[in-house]
Amino acid sequence: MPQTGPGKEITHPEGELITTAEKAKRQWKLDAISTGTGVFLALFMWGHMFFVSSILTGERGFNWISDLFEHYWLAQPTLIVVTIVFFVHFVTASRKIPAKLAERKRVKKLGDDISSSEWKFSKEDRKELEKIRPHKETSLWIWQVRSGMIILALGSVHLFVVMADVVERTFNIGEGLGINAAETMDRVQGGMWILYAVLLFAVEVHAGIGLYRVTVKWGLGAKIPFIGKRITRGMAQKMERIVLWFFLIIGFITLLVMARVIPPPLEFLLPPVTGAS
Amino acid sequence: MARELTFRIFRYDPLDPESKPCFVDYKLEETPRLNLFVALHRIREKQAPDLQFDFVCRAGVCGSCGMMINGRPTLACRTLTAELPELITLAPMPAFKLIGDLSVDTGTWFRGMSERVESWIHTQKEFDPNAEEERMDNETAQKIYELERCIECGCCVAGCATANVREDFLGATALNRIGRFMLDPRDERDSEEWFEIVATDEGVFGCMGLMGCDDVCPKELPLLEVFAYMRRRMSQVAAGKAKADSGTSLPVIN
Repeated sequence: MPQTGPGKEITHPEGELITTAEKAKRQWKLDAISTGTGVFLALFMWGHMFFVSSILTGERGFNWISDLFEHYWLAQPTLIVVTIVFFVHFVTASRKIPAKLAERKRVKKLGDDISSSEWKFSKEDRKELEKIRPHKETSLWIWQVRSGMIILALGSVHLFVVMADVVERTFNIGEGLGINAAETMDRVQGGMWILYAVLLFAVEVHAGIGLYRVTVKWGLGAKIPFIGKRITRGMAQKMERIVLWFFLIIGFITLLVMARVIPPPLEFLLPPVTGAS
Repeated sequence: MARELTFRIFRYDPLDPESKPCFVDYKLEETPRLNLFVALHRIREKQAPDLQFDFVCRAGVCGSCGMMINGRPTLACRTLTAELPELITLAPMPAFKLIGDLSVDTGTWFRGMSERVESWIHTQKEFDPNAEEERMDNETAQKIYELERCIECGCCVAGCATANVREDFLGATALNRIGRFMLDPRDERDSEEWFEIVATDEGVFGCMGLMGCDDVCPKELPLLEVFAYMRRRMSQVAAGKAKADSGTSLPVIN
């Protein structure tokens, strides 16, 4: 076991001599960065979903928003920042994945054993004997890693496609249309829907489990402002489920509209077009 | 009609060069209110006199009888066979040194852990045997007592995937112990000193958040609450707050 203690000097794996305080500070920083970038990306995805679902009001609504973002130079810096945060999150968060296959198998086996261990309890007994608690978090974690890998691959493709669109308009290359409804819908209808459907599902699962874990890791027992209640695991689980289903449903309806399977259901919200365009 | 139970028990004696790790089945007729403590003793009396396992208090207090029961680390003395199916698989807890069969050496591990986290009150105050004992407010005392209920059975370590794959990881019981001393006003270690012990990959920031420890702890300690409190407090220290939260955000759990 490595010695710890105030101000002791130790050798860093890279050969550098640092104090235990510096080492702790670095490791805190890495964990804080992976958490911070994760929360940022999850919040970004909610905003993203909100704006993409503008297609529910029809092509005009979607184009109005994308025009606004590109014209006022909001899309360009956001794209760069999100791309950077995306990879920083991958690098810092993947530190937690055990490197060896045997270790990963051990994690899975232990989680499966704990959650599926056979205890024949009747429902009443189970309520009374709280000691046998269900254990889902290991398999949730494994699914978070799996969805993370999918996002890394498919998200990179998506970022590239969107970046190409934005760059075209910004630097006036080719038709220079930027992000627009017609082209996006053609793309989705032409087969990219598979990528977006998988990506949507992976992102919502990944963000949902991630936010649940962050809440438990950092927030458990803390008082919620204004409400005054303390955060519990059950509360975090419930929130996760609500948020997950909310965004999955909106996401899939949006995707169906994008693929021109169903007409935009909220078109009536926009004022009717006056005169020929 | 009483059930006939099959106990599939891990057998291995590391001191015997001819012994090979394997599972051996033992049959036993179930009697009313039979618990694993009694069942294992019956097997040892009649069927396997060399079977090794640990028991002391048989009442869930001493923490000696932690083992993997159908894959879940828990106390054998508090487990009734009536709660289990007919096939009961028993294995020693991982992450600890195997003594033989179901017996593991938790003592050495806990001793090492105590030394590593310096599990004692650090104070410069001279002890005056004649002075009246300093008083502690009730809420603080309750919070400390809650964490002090740990019986060192090791189930949280056996149920922790991180501790299973990384020997240097402190484990839930050690972090809980640190939390106990963090809350204690008599301990003079400051936030920076705690930071060095706990804010590393061996400490709370190495935790993968699989929550296995909390799900298997037989004493139902508020482990996750303690870790969350630690993460918040350590982040306050890292952010340069001299006066970090000294336990106010940790709830009293009854």
